[in-house]
Amino acid sequence: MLIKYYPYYLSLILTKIIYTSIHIYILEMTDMEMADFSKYGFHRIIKYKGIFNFDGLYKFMINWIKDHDFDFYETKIWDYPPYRIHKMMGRKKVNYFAMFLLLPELWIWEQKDVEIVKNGKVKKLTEARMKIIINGGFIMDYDGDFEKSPGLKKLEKFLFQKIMYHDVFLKYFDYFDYYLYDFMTDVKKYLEMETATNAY
Amino acid sequence: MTEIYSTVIAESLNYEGYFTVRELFRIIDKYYRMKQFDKKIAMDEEFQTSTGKYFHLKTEYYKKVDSYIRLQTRLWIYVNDYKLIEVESEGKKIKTAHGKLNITFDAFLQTEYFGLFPDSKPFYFLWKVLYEKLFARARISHWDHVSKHVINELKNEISGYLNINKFMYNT
Repeated sequence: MLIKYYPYYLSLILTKIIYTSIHIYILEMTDMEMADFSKYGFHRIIKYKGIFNFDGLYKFMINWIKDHDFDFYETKIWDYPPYRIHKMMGRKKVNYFAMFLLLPELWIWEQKDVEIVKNGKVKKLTEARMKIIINGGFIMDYDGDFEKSPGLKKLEKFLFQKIMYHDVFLKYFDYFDYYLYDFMTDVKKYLEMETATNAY
Repeated sequence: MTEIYSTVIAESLNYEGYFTVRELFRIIDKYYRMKQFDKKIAMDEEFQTSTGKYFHLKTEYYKKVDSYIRLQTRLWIYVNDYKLIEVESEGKKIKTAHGKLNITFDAFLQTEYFGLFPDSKPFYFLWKVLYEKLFARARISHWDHVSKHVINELKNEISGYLNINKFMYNT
C-alpha cells in the first residue's frame, strides 16, 4: 500500500520544501519598503440609472463614513457639463500602525431635476445615470515611524513580512473587505436597489 | 505560473415568470456562504427602462481549498423587463415581480495560485506538468468534480426557488 503511493507522498514532501523556500525568497525580494498594501484593496462598482435623491445619497454616504469613525475629506469635485465627479476619502486609524482608507467616487451623467408627487407631497429628485466606485485599502506605518533609518526599515520588513504577514492579510484585509460590503449594501439600500442583500 | 482549468463552461439557466431579484440574490449568497466561499461582486447594474427594470450582475465566488488549489465560480446574471406586481394567492395578496432571467454559470479550477513556479524556467514548467499530470492527478480530479458539483447544486437550489423542477420526478 505504502509502495503504491510512494511517488505521491515523495512529490508532496518535495513540493512542500521547494514551495516554502521559494515563498520565503519571494517575500524577501518583494519591494515592500513603503509597506503599502492598498494595491490588494477593495474595488467594487455600482451602476444605476433612474430617479433618486442625489442630495440625500450624498449626505447618507458622508454620514455613513463619519458614523463609522472615519475622518471624512471631500477631495475633489469635477464639474464638466456632461458629467460630474465627486471624490471622497475616509481615513480611520485602527491602531498605532494600521489605517483603513475608504475612497468612494460618484460619477454622474445626464443629470436632470424632476418633481415627483409621492404620498400627496411634491418632492424634488434627480434623474441621472450614475456610477459609484467604492475603492478601499489599508496603509501600514502611517506615521512613517519606520522610515527614519535603514535599520528601522529592515525591522519593518521583518515585522510585516515574517511576524505579522498573516495578521495583515487575514485580520485587516479580510475584515475590511467584508466591512466595505456593508457600506456597499447600505448604499444600495438607500437607492432601493433590488440587490441590496448581503448574506456575509 | 497559475494554471486555470475550466470545469463548467457557460451553462445557462433561462426563466420567464414570477420571482424577485432580492430573494434570488439572497439564495445565491447564502448558498455560497454555507459552502464557505469568499465573495466578490465585480459589477452591479440596475437601470430603469421603459419596459421595466434591467439588471446585470457579475459575481465571483472563490475558495482556496488548500495552498495549491483554488475553486472559482463566476455568475453573470441578467434580468430584463422586471416589474413589481401584486398577485392574489389563496385570498392573500403577495408582492412579487415578473421578469426575464438569464444566468450564465462558469466554474474554474486554479492551480498554483501563488504563482511561485513561473513558466519561464524550464525546470519549474517540467515539475509542474509532472506534478499535475502524474502525482496530483487524483487530487485535481477530485476538486474538479467538487467544482462541477457546486454549480450543479446551486442550479438545483435556484431552480427549486423558481419552481422549474416540478415535473422532474413524475413517471
